[in-house]
Amino acid sequence: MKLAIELVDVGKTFQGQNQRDFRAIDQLNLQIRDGEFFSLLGPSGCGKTTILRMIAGFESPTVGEVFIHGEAMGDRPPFHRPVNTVFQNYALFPHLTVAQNVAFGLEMEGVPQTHIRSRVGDALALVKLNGLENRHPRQLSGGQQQRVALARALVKQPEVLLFDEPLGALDLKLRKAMQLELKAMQQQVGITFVYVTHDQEEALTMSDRIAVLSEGKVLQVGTPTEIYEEPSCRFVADFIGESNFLIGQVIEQANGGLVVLVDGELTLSVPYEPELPVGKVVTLVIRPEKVTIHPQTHSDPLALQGTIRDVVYLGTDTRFVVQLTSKSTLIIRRQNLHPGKLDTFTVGEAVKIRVAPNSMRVLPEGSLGPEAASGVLHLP
Amino acid sequence: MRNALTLERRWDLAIRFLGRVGLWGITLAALLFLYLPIAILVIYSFNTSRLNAVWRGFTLDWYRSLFAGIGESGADVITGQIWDALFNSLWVGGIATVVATVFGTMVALALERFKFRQKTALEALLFLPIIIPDITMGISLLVFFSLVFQLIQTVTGVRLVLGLPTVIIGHIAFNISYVAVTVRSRIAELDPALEEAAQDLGANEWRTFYRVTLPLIFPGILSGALLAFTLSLDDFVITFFTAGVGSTTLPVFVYGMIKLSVTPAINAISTLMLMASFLIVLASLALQRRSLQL
Repeated sequence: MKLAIELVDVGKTFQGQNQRDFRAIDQLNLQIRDGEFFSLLGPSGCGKTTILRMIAGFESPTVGEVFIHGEAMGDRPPFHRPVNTVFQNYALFPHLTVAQNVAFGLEMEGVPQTHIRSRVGDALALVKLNGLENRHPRQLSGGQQQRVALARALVKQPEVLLFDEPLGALDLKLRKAMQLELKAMQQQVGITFVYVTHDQEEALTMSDRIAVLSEGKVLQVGTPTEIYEEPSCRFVADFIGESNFLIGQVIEQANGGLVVLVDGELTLSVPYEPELPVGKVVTLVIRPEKVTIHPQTHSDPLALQGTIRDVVYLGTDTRFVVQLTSKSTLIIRRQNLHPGKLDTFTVGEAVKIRVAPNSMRVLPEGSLGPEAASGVLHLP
Repeated sequence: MRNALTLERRWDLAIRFLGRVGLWGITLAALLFLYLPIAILVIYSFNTSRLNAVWRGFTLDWYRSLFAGIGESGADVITGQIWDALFNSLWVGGIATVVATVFGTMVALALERFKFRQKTALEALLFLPIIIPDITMGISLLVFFSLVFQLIQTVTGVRLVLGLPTVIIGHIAFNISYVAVTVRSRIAELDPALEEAAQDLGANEWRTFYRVTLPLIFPGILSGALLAFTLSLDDFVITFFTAGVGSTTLPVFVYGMIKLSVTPAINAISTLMLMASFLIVLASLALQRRSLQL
């Protein structure tokens, strides 16, 4: 597989005031394949924009090396790199018209005027902005400005296109439409897209692969499905979508599965291959939509006992909060597919909960809080 | 009941009327206080009488006398001197403005775009010429020049004296600060991402500067230059200390003239300068408005 971008052992430390240094990126390794839509996803301050800026050449790594198409970038300035950026607030030149903005990069390359005109026309057609050539950026709506920024970067025909949260300033409807359009455009032009966002839904919608970042480190790299279904750690499970976390202790491992004791009163069986010692504390990740809720009359022997604590109607689905044990609660989402035919539950009602064993994910991490100590199993 | 209401309403209206009259009155008084002396100056520049105290009738003679002297031998000595002084002022203002604008802009760019250790100190130093009294600056420049001249004389044997060049240097010294402060506020408004975008699109540092930075901060540079020119044209104290024989600027000349004999020609030339300053300020305001729209 050909690599578009590779970061090898990259670290970035910013010198702060009063000699206090801030380590934004730490020992980062990342491989972005040629032609893929790759997202850098993480909360603000996780270093995702710094990574993008190091690829673009606005920052240089304190240690390590950035490779673009196998070539070490070193301290090469932005204007000598085969990448272009779509900036967060578009950064359109206010003193130039739309056409002049788009033509800027070609003029810098020394492309002859006649070629520039046709290429600018093509780029504006691609982003559906024909007819607005002579407007100034301030005369355009946010969505139109966004398209100009895109055309300005695309017209250079870069090998890699970098996006720094480009849809952040748009309203929700427009943002959703642009997400799909960007994805379609990426498939059409076949350029590698590196996309920075803090919006997990946006990343899931558009990306071929996602890197989840926190505090300057890559926590997990994978396809949207992998990231959602098989989170590598509690942070990823919590950041992508909604998750329930049950913390428990392994009391038995047999036949490719674990028996986990939660809160000292609830035993759950989950499939898990790797060896774990008995007594090890683990975290069970359970997605709210993978749990079903049933009336007390339900006769499944594996069902758990619970009490409804809260019911919230959310339109597409209903959210239940169910008390499982004295300490742990589960959030459950049920789609409102056939409103009239669904069982209704009220707060305080005793219910049965069904969690399919293979829909639970075991993370060999976590610790029992001090208050949980009473329920801890003491092993020889 | 109805009557009481109308009464209340009338009272309300009366108060409101009084308030409005009062507000207008205060505004008018303030404007009069500010502009009456200037208005009197302008009016008396059309006075037939040689004395400013009495009005004898309308005339354009004083303006005529200003222009009559140009290029003619044997023209009024005083008029000739006024024009010499005006040209000195324009020379000093012109050169000082150009030099101060270039350096002031460079300082502003350095302060806004770079991080360096002595930045805070430089910022404080930059404000100093604006804050310290003109008289201090004038004296210090005078002392500085005489020391430097002495040094040059002992080293090379060349004797230098005060003249227009020293006035120009003095004006550059205080104008750099004003230009730097004006331009800097404009650069601070500039989104750094614009320069990054230019570099990202293939422009090197120099092309980024003249294709993106310069056009965007140009209104700030121009209004800084206009400010510098006006200040230079107006300056009396610093010029007084740094000017030598034959290098009088208009304000210094007018001051000297008042001590000898007051002629309404001064009123006339002041009116002309007032008009010029007014136009410059208008141009500067228009530029700022344009820059706000961008």
